[in-house]
Amino acid sequence: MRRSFVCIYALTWQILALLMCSTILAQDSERGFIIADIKLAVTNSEAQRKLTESLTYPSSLDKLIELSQGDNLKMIFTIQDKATKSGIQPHQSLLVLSSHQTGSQIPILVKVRETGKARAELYLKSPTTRNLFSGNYSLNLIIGTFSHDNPINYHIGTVKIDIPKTYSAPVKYGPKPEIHHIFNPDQKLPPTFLSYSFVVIVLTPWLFLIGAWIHLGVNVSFLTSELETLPAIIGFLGTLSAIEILFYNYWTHLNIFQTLSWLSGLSALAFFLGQKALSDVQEWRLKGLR
Amino acid sequence: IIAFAFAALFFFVESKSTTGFRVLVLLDEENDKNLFTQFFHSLEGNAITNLLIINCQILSSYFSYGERAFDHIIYFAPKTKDKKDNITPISLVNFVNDGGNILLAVSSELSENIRNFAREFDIEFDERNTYVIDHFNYDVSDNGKHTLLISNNFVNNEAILSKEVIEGVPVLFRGIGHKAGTVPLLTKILWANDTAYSSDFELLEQEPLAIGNDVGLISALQARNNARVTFVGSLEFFSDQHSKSGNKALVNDLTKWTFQEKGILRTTSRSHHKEGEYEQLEMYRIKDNIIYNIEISEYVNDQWQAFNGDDIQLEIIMLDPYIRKNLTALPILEGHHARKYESLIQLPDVYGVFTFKVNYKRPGYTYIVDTSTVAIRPFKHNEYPRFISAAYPYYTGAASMGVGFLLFCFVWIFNKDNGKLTANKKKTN
Repeated sequence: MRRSFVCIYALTWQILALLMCSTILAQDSERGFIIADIKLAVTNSEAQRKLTESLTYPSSLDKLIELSQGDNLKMIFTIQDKATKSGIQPHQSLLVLSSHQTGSQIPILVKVRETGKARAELYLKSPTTRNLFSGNYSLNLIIGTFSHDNPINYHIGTVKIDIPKTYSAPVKYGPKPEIHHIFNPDQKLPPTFLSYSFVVIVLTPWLFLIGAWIHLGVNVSFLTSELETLPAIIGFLGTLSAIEILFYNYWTHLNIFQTLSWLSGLSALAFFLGQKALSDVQEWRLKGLR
Repeated sequence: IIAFAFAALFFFVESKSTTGFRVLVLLDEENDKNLFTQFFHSLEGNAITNLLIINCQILSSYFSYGERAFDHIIYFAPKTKDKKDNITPISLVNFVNDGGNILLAVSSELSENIRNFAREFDIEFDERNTYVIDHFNYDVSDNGKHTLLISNNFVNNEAILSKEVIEGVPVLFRGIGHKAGTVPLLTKILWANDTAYSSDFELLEQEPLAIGNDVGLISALQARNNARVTFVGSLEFFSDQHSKSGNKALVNDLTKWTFQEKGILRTTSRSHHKEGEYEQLEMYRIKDNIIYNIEISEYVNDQWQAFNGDDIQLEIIMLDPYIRKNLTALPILEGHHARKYESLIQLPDVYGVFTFKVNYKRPGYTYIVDTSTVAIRPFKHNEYPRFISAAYPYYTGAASMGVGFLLFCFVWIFNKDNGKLTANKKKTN
């Protein structure tokens, strides 16, 4: 009986020990921390308070925190172990500003004392040494430790930073904008109306010529009367026209060498035909017809 | 002080790289090679392996007779402080300048030499004995230090990583972080989550070198001569124990890209000619219409195929670009190994010596800089407009002279005087 009593005694102690261990283990797996007494203050360069807020985790600040050049953002809070309420110094306690524009993150160190009191400060002095530029940022408080589970990523609010520095994107390889060449405008000429009017002016002597001929009674009667001498004269006039046509072709597409070769042929022809034609005309004159 | 002896393992590997197959692996200690057996096995592939274990005293230089002795270096020796003359960070930089590729992995015990070497490539590793720590996002098999991170922040670049890796399983990383610069030659391949930071295990005295997505885990730089250097902050990344998660696929992609088996482009031909002609001239005239085309192929799965890009641009440059035009990609024909890009361009009306330049630089792909020089001459005297409106009076003047002469001859020959005038003359007399 004494033995059984000893057994029961040992068993109860074992059960008690197990219970204690389990409770201790349960506590260990739930070791968390809490942050409390969160206060946020913004003062400007003349030491005037622009913003004072008290927050409770996990609610965020609705209104925009505006910071301009020379302002000072200060934040204090306390970190305590959830169970024992004693202060802890976490390994990672950072205030992070994440830019809405580029996604880049800028850290602000939070200094935590052994009592658990923490404080962080962002001073926008001039010139700014951090990688900040004008824009909207998300302000997050990230706390993580090795000793406790459940790290905290606490979104405090949105910060609008207004400093002279703006974001300039770094050079990245990619397609560049197209360049279209702007051609010089064509040479400006006087208006065509003017050219046409001078064409008309140039052609006016013809009126005088035709008018004078009509007044003088000019005719082409020998064309019909003296028919047997006609071929030579017509040939001669045709050769002269051919030379004119040759000159027109030279003006448009021939070169000098082709022109001269044609001209040598045509001028010889014009010479012989002309001699015959003009001697015929002389005969008319001698015959008294002219 | 233990003098670190590192064994160099030569692998004559048919790694199907476009630049060569001589790989040098550098380790801190000879026994380290047992940690990476799966990685080395995957490198060997299905080809000749000529294992040659050489004592460090014999490895005197990366070069022999003025040329690179190897095509690729796998540098797994972060702790080694190189004291010999020929094996310094500068000689590694010369290796890269000569076209060699480097795959470099470090651990938290990296030496200052490696940090200096990385600075040459605009990568700033954190101090010795720092780790990338993330209290929010560590693997279950972590040892309590929250340093074994799970990360799937891959770069979305299919030239470097295949689609399976980009959309696939996260990788495990334990090591040192770095801050990558803003040089466009650099590409960040893997970076940490927003809640991570790079630090040692003491309490933070000042802000960490990098936090959040600024902490680079794997970055790579492709130099202007297309040599590739990849920096991996974790030597354990390649080890056998981590090869089961997504690490194996990423390591495979990284080695393929670094050793020039992936993301490789080349131009097979380029030509230009006047519209309507076929001959490629060395001298064109201003305001000529020319057709320029270039053919580019890509090395995929060990063969050259037509390239898929669609943003190739042509620049016509004389000191500054006068014209920059997007080339249109012609459809890929059967059996063609290159993609033809074409464009119709009117040459500028400035004359001089111009360069037709295709300067295609995209992260992950080899850089293509293809130039051809042409001269552009001004109009010859007979290329100006032939007839101008201001000269119409002169044309009509000359024509009317010619016509008038012929008409006068005609009329003079055939005119018969009626005697009116002589009669008037006799009358007045």
